Amino acid sequence: MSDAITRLIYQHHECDDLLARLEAAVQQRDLCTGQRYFHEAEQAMLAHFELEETILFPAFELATGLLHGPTEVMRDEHYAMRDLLENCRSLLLAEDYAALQAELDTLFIFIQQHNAKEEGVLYPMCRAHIGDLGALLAHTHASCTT
Amino acid sequence: MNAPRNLAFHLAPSPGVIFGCLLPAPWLGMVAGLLLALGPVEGLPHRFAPLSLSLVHVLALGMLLPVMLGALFQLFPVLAGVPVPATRWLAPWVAPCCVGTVGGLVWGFLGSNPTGFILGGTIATIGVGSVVIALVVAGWQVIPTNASTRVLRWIAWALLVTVLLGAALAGVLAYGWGLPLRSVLDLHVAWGAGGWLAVLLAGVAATVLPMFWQTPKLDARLSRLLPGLIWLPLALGLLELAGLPAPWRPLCWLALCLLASLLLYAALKAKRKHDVAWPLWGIAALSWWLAAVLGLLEGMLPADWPIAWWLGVLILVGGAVLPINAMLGKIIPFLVWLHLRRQLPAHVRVPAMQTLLPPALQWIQVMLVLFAWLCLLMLPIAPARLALPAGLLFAASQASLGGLLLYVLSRYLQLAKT
Repeated sequence: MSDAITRLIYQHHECDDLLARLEAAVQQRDLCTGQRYFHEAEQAMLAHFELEETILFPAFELATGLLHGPTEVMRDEHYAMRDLLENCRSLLLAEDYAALQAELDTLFIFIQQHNAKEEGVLYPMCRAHIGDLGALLAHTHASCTT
Repeated sequence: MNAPRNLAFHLAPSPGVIFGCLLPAPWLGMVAGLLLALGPVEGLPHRFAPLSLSLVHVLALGMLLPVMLGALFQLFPVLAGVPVPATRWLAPWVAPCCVGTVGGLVWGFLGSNPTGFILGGTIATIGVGSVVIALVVAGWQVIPTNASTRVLRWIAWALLVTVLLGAALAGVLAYGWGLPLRSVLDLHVAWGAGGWLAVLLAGVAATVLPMFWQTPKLDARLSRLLPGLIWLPLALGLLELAGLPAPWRPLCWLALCLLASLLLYAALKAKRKHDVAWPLWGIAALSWWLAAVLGLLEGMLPADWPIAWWLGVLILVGGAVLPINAMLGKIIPFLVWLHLRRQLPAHVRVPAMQTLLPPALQWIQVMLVLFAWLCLLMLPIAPARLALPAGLLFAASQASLGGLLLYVLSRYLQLAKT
């Protein structure tokens, strides 16, 4: 697996870790820590979605001609995750811990199946079809961090 | 090219097709429990008691096989981008074929009736055999990239060998075929429990444990051991049919011990131990590990110890029913949630999975099945007296899971109408 893909997978793991910390904070009814981890998890996830939707998916679609294939499914799942994040934010503000825990559980499982598809199928396809993937994502990573 | 050709989501089977394979499972588990509670206890806990043989097949073929085949129909397109050919036509027949096979075999074992074996063997060979062929064809197109896809590529062959050896056993029992009974029997059990069940569970666990319970991912080098780690000693065992003895039994137990140790390590390192289904995986890993150690030490243990009964309970109930209960409690609410998300208008909020299947209710089911596992292990102390409570407890645990899953479906139908 190329370094660029490894970095994308690493971002998945970072988000998983933040969500696990958020879940733990919610279980302990620790609002301050929960809000901090929610903010970090949301930022990390939204940045990752943007990177994929604006750089990776268009490059894949250009390279393969598959406009209504896997990337369409992944985009749709990103929308669903944005909705779930929005729900979580409302529940966190309302301090409805039980409902938040249930919503986080759904978000977590949805993300996991999404990541499994990306890591097991889409990313290897990107690696196989996009010639300059490393340079493309390296440039983006650089611009994201500046 | 080292990449799957397509995600093929459009070819993934509909939830209805998968539900048809998964939903009958707990009810067949309930039948197994009732059979133990109400069946003839003479000969228990001996492995060749008619009731023991019937129970093994009701659990392995009636309950576990349809779930595992249903999971494969879903996993092939989603994880490997390869749909199983003719899923739409084959899937509805999976549960009826498995039930028919079990019915024939139970009739054969409990009624000592060769017609039952002929019936069970025929249904299994034609019905399950057709599914196996479809899985072999699909497996051939899978490009292995990790432990799960590597298992998907080859797993159907283990089921094929198990079915063929089972059909050979049915032939020996019904027609008196001149085959080495002990070797065929041992290999049938070993390929079924180790080659098929343990390898498929390990392959699925390599994906679902990190996904749902945030366990550490299996190291890439270790993942390459699957399925060869278990299959090589099993293949060595096939030489026994040609009259060439080989030490395949201890090698199999050793391989299983290694696999179980990895599973146990992963389960103990889970970050989402607060999840209500996590104890099921922990006890499942422990069961596989205990079974492997018992198998290795069998020759050194007193001959009157009920090792075969314990192995059966540890592998089939602890090692398979528990994780499958855990998976059903995740997959059915998740598929329903996905389906609702597609069906409901954009402005309608889809209820969380835990609203569809409340963790408090699931916790009761988890405790019931764990207590049943313990009672089944203790059954050899007083088989005649413990068969009834152990059987009823197991039946109750599976009926409660079946009831919970029907509740999830009823919530789905209710919400889909609104």
